Amino acid sequence: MTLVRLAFRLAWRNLGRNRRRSLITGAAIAFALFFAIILRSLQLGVYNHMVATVVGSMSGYVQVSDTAYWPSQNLDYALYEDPEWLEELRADREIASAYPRLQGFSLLSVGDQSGVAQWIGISPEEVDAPLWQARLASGSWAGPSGSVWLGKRLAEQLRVAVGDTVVSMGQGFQGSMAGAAWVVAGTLNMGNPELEKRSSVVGLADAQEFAGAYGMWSYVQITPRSTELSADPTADIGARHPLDGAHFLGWQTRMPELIQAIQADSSGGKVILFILYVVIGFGLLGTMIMLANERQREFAMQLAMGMRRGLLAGIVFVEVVLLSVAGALVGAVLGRVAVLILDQFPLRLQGDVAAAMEQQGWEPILPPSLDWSITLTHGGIIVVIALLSAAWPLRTVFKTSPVHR
Amino acid sequence: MNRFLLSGLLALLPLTSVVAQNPTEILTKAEKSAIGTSSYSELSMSAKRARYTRELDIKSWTHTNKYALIVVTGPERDRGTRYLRADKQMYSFVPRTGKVVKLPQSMLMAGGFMGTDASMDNLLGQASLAKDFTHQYLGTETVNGLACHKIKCTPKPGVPVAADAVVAWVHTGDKGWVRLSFQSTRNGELQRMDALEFSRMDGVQMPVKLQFSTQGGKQTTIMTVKTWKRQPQLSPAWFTPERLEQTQP
Repeated sequence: MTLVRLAFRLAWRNLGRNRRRSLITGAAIAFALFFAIILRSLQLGVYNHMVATVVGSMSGYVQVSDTAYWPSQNLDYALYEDPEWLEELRADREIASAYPRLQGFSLLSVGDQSGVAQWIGISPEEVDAPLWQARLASGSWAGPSGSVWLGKRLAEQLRVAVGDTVVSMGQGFQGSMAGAAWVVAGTLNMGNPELEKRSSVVGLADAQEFAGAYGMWSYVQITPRSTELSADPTADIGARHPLDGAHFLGWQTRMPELIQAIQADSSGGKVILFILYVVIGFGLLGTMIMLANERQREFAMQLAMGMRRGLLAGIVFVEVVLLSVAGALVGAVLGRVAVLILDQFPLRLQGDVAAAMEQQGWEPILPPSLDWSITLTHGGIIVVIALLSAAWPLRTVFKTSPVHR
Repeated sequence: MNRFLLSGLLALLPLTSVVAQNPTEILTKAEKSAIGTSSYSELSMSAKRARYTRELDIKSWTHTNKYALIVVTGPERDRGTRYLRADKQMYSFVPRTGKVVKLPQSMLMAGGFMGTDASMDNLLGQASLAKDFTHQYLGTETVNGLACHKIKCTPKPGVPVAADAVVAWVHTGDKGWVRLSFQSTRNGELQRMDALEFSRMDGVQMPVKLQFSTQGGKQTTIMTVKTWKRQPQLSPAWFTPERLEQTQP
């Protein structure tokens, strides 16, 4: 016990004896961690942003649907309405919003123009949400029953404007015929050009009437409060609010291709981080070799005076631990502060890239991820690298002869 | 020994007569009554699904395989829904919209007819197997208890059909086709039609109970012909969008 305390005390003093060397080593560790955190936070943050745009607004982080609904998304597999269950779901503190929808496909036609589009029946509460309010390109949301809101490009394709009538026909619930004449009440910016060509929105009640699916929902779209990329709250919410014949599906399950795209891109980021770590690792090793060489006389002297090699090695090791932990702490604090600043004032893309992203319906910003696990993971990695590079001075301790020089 | 030889020869006899048959002729003969006669019919359909069974009653007027008017008479929710095909034009009328809508021609090839396993062109007139396809004779086979000629039909270029090939089993007697299998090179069998019962209606021999199967037989629809009458007075000029709008269920 006293030996350990002695080792710590001597290590601490050793650090103080060559302040410049200690500072440089610590700073190398701190900067490596700082950059790793910023790089990774930005990368994961962009994925979150992407998922929020692609998933959050349209199909939902979590969908509650009939067990047979996915992947065909067949209207026939609709759920029976359960308003009490929905109320209970909405009262859950971990759920930001829950909206029932009914959706399917139909042929929309006006005169000689026609096009196949998806129709989405959305509830009045969902229309009131800022997201849909912001999407309105023309017209208004205050349409009477029998109104339809068309994707901007779909309206152009059908050559209709607000106030025109479109005839919608298609397959309804369980093989029945769906048909209605809807009045265009507005057009929508959906962000994504493909969605704008292929989407129409109607009131939930109108959709149920249209499809003959009275009192049915295709699915309930849930947005949980925590929408971090890694989190899949599906099982959790499902266990607390079970619904007969239904299951809860996270977007990760429903859109494996999005996960794959993220994973492919993410491994590119990991390669860059690997290069960063290799560079930093060799830098640290260089410092350690320098340290070992500078102190070889000192080691030899101490050994000659009867100090045990084990204790000497312990002291050197403790020095490296203290240095790397201190460096990692500083790096983590700096990185965290930088990430928080970036979160408040996100990087904004300019020029063509920004225009292209806006076309895709994404706000052209690079928001960072605030996930603590990034800091912890990379802090751990850098400390381990520092400890590995400590192998060189330890080797020197064991190789140094007390009498040779 | 002699008897043995004789029976062997006898067994070969029908085969030789078959080989002499031209598959195009067999199909032309089988299709003659179906395509050659203008008709009025009342049909009922029953589509079986995992969770429900859908019943549908329709009235239909046809002239050749290019003109057809179909009116849905039941169930109540779909009553009055109508389809018209006049050669390459297709229209539809849904009472709730009160409008005649022109349908894209691709609808003829795609999708089931009103939630059944029959396709739009099964009802609105499909391409003629005799005229629009080239044929390959594949021998005889017994299907649904009937001896049949098996003929592979490949669509001639430019014929608008969804299938890459249709295999037809045509009764060696006078019952006409017994089974049609619509096949795609990519997805295997798209749809199968089986003629389960035959009868003579208004003097014409025809299948009166048909089964449509899709998804490898997982979904089936039974169609029963309740009434069938010759309507020699029908002509292409009779099939107009106005007729579509006015014909009541």
